[in-house]
Amino acid sequence: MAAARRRSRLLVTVSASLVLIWVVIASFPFLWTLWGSFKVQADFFSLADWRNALRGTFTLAQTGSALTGQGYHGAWVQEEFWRAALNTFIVVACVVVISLTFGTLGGYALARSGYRHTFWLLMIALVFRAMPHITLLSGYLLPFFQWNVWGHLPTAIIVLVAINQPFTLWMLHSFFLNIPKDLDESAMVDGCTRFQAFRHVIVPVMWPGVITTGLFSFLLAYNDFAVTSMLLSQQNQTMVPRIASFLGSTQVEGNVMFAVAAVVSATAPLFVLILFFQRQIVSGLTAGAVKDQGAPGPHHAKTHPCAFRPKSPS
Amino acid sequence: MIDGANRWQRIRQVVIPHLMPLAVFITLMQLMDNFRVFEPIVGFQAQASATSLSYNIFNHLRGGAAQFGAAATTSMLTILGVIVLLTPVLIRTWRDVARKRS
Repeated sequence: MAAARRRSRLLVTVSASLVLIWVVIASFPFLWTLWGSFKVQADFFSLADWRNALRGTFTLAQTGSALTGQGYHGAWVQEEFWRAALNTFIVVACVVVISLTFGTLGGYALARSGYRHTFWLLMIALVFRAMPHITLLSGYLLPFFQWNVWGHLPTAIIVLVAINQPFTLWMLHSFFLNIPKDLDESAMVDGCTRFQAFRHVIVPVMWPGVITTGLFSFLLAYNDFAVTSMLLSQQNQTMVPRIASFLGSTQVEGNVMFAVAAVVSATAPLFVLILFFQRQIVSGLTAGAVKDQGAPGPHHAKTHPCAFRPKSPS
Repeated sequence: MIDGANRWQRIRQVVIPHLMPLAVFITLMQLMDNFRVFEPIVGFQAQASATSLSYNIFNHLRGGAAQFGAAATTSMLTILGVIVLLTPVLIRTWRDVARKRS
């Protein structure tokens, strides 16, 4: 008994230290960037001695203190990064709202419909969900140039919603499957129309699923580089392409620090978001794919059509 | 534990078989994600020594309307590759849905 306890304590120590090492390795790049964003370029990108970034020799010499906000000032005020942040906010909010609206309606319909073609629609959605986003762009660009709609935010929003939609449909569909059919059937027996049943009975139960799917659409729109960098003009870029163009403008000493500061500014909201919603994100990662084999959860028995059938009228 | 299995046997014969579907799924997803690797190449400006199909498309699309055809062709090839990689998932979904229906 004592031997077993000692061994398990060894196991706990080993696994804890492995996790600790992993956390350090995983968070180091971000912490390093965060630290370096308060330095000047001569320190953070020092060729002579990397320890300059820790000591801040040049930062002290150039600004008079060990930490400086020059990078942030340059990015947000001088280069007007706030414009990019505002654009990102608009794009992300529109994409999440539009794709959730269509996604809940469509996912509900797909989950409740008995037609054979729903299956094919879902398969097509699965294929489209797996496609690299940039492959879908080559068809868009030329018409957008010709119709003169290239470079505007609404265009990018529409394309992002279109790219996002298969994914939202698929995910919400699998969430709706977890809600027993009897719930909306009994609501309709009580005198609701189909839409009222959806609105007043299903949607309140669905909030966790809607929030999870909304988070994933948020992340897709927020992190997107390929679509927004190809479809938006220089004046109204979103944050990620803007950072990329900061990185391209390294001729002037100190401009790279704008990119570093912008990276930190763009990552901070994600940290807050994931801090609050990590449970939904983790549960959503595998939703719809391994539902049957994975940990079933309390609703599982009800999803099977035969398991939860009330007295049939016959 | 009750049936006399030690820790190793428990891991080997109970935990790993139950984790297999998840592991297969994640392997496929990772394979697909890395098949379309794009942002690391742009971020590190590594296009000189490492390019991918996605990067080729991006490059063609930036090259102006004359190269859109090349971009479209590469896109179709990439989509074909994704579908090939996706076939196991598709087959499994097919089976799941068919079982649910019957």
